[in-house]
Amino acid sequence: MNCARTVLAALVATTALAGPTALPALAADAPVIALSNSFYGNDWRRQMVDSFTAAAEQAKSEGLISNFVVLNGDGSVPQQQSQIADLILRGVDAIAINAASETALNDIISKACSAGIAVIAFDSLLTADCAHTLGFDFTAYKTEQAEATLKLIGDKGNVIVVRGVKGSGPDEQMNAAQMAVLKQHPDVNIAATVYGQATAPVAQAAIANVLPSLPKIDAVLGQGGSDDYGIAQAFEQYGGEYEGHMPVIEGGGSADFIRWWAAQHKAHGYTTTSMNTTPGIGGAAFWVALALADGKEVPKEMTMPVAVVEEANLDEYADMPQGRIVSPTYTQEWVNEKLLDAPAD
Amino acid sequence: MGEVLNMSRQAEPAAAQSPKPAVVSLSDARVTYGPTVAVDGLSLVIRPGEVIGLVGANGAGKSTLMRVLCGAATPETGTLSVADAPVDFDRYGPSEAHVRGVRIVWQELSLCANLTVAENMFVERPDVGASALGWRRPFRRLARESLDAVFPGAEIGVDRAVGDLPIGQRQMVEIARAATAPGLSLLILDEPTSSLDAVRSRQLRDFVRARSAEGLAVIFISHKLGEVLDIASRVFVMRNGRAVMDAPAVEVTPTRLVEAMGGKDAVSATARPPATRGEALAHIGGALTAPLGGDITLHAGEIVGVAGLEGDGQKPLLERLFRARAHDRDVTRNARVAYVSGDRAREGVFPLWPVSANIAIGRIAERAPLSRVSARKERQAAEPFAERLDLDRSRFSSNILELSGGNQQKALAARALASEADILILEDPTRGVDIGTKRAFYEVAREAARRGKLVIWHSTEDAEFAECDRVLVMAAGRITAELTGEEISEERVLATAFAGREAAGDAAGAQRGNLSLALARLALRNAALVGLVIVCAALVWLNPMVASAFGIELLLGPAVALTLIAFAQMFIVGGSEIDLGVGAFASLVNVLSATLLVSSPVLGVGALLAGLAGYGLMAGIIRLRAVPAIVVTLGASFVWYGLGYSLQPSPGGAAPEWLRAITQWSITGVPTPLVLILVFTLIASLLHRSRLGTVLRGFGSSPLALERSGWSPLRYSIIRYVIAGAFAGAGGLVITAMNGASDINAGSGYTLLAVAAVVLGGCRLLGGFISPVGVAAGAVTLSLIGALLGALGVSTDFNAAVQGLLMISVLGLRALVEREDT
Repeated sequence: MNCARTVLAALVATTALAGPTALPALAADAPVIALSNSFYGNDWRRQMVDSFTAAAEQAKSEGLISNFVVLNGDGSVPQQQSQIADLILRGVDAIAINAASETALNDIISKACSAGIAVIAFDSLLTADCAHTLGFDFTAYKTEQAEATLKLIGDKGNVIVVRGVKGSGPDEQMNAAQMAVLKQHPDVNIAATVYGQATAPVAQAAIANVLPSLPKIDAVLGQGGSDDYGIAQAFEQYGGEYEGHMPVIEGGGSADFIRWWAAQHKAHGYTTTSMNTTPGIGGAAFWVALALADGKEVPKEMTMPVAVVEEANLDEYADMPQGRIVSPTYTQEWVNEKLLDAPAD
Repeated sequence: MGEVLNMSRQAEPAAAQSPKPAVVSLSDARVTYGPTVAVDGLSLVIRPGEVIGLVGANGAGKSTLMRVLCGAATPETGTLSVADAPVDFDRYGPSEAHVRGVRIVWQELSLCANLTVAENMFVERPDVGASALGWRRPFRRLARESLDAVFPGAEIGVDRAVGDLPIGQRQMVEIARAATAPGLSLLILDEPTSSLDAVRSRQLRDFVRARSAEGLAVIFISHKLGEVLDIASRVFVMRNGRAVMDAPAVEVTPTRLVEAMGGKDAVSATARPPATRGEALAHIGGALTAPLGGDITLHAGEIVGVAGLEGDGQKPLLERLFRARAHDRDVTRNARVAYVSGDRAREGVFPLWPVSANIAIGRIAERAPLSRVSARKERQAAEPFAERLDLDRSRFSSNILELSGGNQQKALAARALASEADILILEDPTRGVDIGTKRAFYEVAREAARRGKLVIWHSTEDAEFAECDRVLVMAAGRITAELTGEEISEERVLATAFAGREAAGDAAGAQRGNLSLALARLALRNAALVGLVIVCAALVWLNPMVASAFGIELLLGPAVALTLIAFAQMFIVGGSEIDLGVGAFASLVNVLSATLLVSSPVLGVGALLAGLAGYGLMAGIIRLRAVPAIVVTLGASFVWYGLGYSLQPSPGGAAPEWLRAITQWSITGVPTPLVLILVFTLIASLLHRSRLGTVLRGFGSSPLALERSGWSPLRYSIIRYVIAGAFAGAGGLVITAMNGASDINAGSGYTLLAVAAVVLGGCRLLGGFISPVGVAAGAVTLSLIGALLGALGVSTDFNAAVQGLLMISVLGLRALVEREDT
């Protein structure tokens, strides 16, 4: 179980600089689990860290772990590299990592692996060979949502495509999925493509910039984060022909958007689709990391489900507190059943 | 040509007797700056061995005429021959003038303040051969020999930075540098003695006399008419861009000279009533006045002179009077103070402002921060003083740098006079000012004293102390004598100063610094190293495993790329610019090397070279089109990102095998990243210390000086940027090698971290001062902070704040020590 510390001690001993030094004073038997989160500046990430912490607290009180560590970064690669180096030297047993870059952390992660630390990358994944991954199937859920959205406008009309974080893997996958769906809908015309960076103010500004030059828009395909509410705001602000006749804006599960949808629904019978990646993945990642630290069999690649809000269950979410994102809480049982025991694809 | 010779024969019989060919002959030159005619159809023939004393009021066109002779200005009309060979003005620049044996010592000193005396020697004489390593040695010797030749016994350390020398010594270095150049046929000295004391001034004149006997022609420009008549064989007087007198020196008297220049009431020395002493405004005591055996009190209504030999503590005394810090018990004052510095370029003028604003700021600075400022009212307040100093009212709205040196000094004097301070400190206020203005200045100072102000006056021209009621003579940092009334005379001041210095024994003894301050300075100069040691010690204390080779390898791995990128930023900062695209460029190289370089190596290498060429192109745009670097590099960063996104829409790729081999080797017990960082730091240091690095540093702090020594700003700008591009590119390659893949977004954090590392490393953002070791230490420290805070259990929300606080406290402490230094 404590192979990580054994390997680390061996490494230190061979280098002989520190001599027969004592390992960090952590409790001997139960493992230590760490979260390395690259960025802490939006609601999604905060909720994710909260879900990790809640799961960890529970495990600690049950004696399943001796301790846990949470390190949040500033979004930059050097910062996260430095934090992971610290975690390795502390001799933690497993690291759950939401990465600042798909590739730029590979070097430090392979060092973590060779020090005997189990690594589970989740949400923003990385490509180091030794890491297990727990991701969302962006292609699948965006295909599903785009089809549902286009169905709402009768498979014809003008759409705006709002892209996400430029140069990131998820943006590439989600956009490819949307484009594939659009290709099968010859009557749907792409009026504009803009970058919303998955952030409300950016998306709002980007839409507001292009709206005056566009024909009447029937739907907007987004990428989530908080871009949904920004897009809705841009149309609200523009007013005119859209007043009371909002286009179908793809939702990304933010409370602001769900409340706006509910209000529009009440007033004008408005409807749309909402699917989102769930911040509850933080808790799921914890339980996977614990399983790894305990030496259990864990699939190399795992996929998380997404959260769906429809007209049918809209009322359940209509009074969500502001700043929250639709997400269930994933328990250890759920993780064991749905992720660890799931047959490999 | 013949006509010109005839003219000069008529005007100047002494020259006609000389059969030797002219060293320089200028005919009918005309130079205008906008509406101002600086040189108006002037002709001048100079023969070997002649010493021409060139005098004229401020703005008479002397400096412009000299610029023409040494290739720094091109006349609209006229011809110039040097050693009987006609000059093509299109190709006649400073370096061509050097080749032809014409050199000038500028009135505005043109040494690189951040370079050592020896390095400044190299900048002027790059042709002297030297080996690649230890290339400074011949220049040290050369500097020492040159200084000894002109100023025997000067004992200026040739490894000291010129900026650390007092202004008089800087002037000595500059004179020695030009005066001892080989193949010299004409030496132009523009106000060479303005900051020299009487001894050094005499040494210089002796040197000039000796060299002119050997055939060197010299033009000696000075407002100190006594010196001019002492040294010159021929006197040439200019007024409004024309020659108004050209006669053998023996036939000329000071009175005639002043009349020719157009000075007024120059003859009669100011008769003045005895000073009426008002209330005590300042007090000097303690160690400073120990030789006198008593304290000194300065009163309202007095003009007090501060005299002494160069570097004997006059300027520090003035600064202590100005600052009057609470802990300074020896020097106190109880009234408001205004300061006029003779070193106008460095601490006087606001170069971007018009004359009127330069005058008004003195008054405005005394008011409450939010009070209203009316340009018209300020102008009205300044006018009487400016007028009394003969400063032309029509030039009020010109930029201050368009005025001649003397007129700039007038504006600064007007600033102090117009302010409402009760104490005026004048530090060599008439440096480079013509005799007419000097007279006006004395009268204005006198009147200020009459109106109840205390005027404290330091001058390098001992004759000026005749204007004072009291003179404090300093030697070796202390006041050794106090002269009053009849005792004050040029001879007496000089004699007392010498006596004082002898009594004080070795003058160097006074320079002994305070040990704790020296230690603090040492620590701050190496702030990054100290920071690194502290951070490392803390990390090891928290977790001893950090000290193992494995720990070092882990923690330093990410610092390698940052160090390289910080070096790139360092070289740009050394040129007083900043590169906002350095992280983006490293990312682009990261992407290029993980995609193109793998799939088609030839194309990849070509693309990398094209990237470097892009850096060179940026330098070209910045220099030729005068676009600020911050704009160009910011624009370029978007280009780098754009290229990166289109090459690789989402992260991935692979590293070429050979590239991985460079960083992925390992020797047991030796942390690879540490070795890499040391090797890169060594490379950057060698580059920094090399001749090329020295020229780049010179350009960073004094581009004009380098240009005047014949170096091309464009070429060295391009070299600087290509070096930076190479380091940033190396950073990108390291990222690829370590991660085996690329991500265009991964480098965005590096740009600002690199700036932070450069600042922590002790480089000045104003350029010229860089330190590769410091920058490497800064980069490593910054990349360890995340780990340190993690280990301390401090919330990572504070991470950025801690980095920022670290930077600000280092800068703040450094500023504090620099203030103590002066």
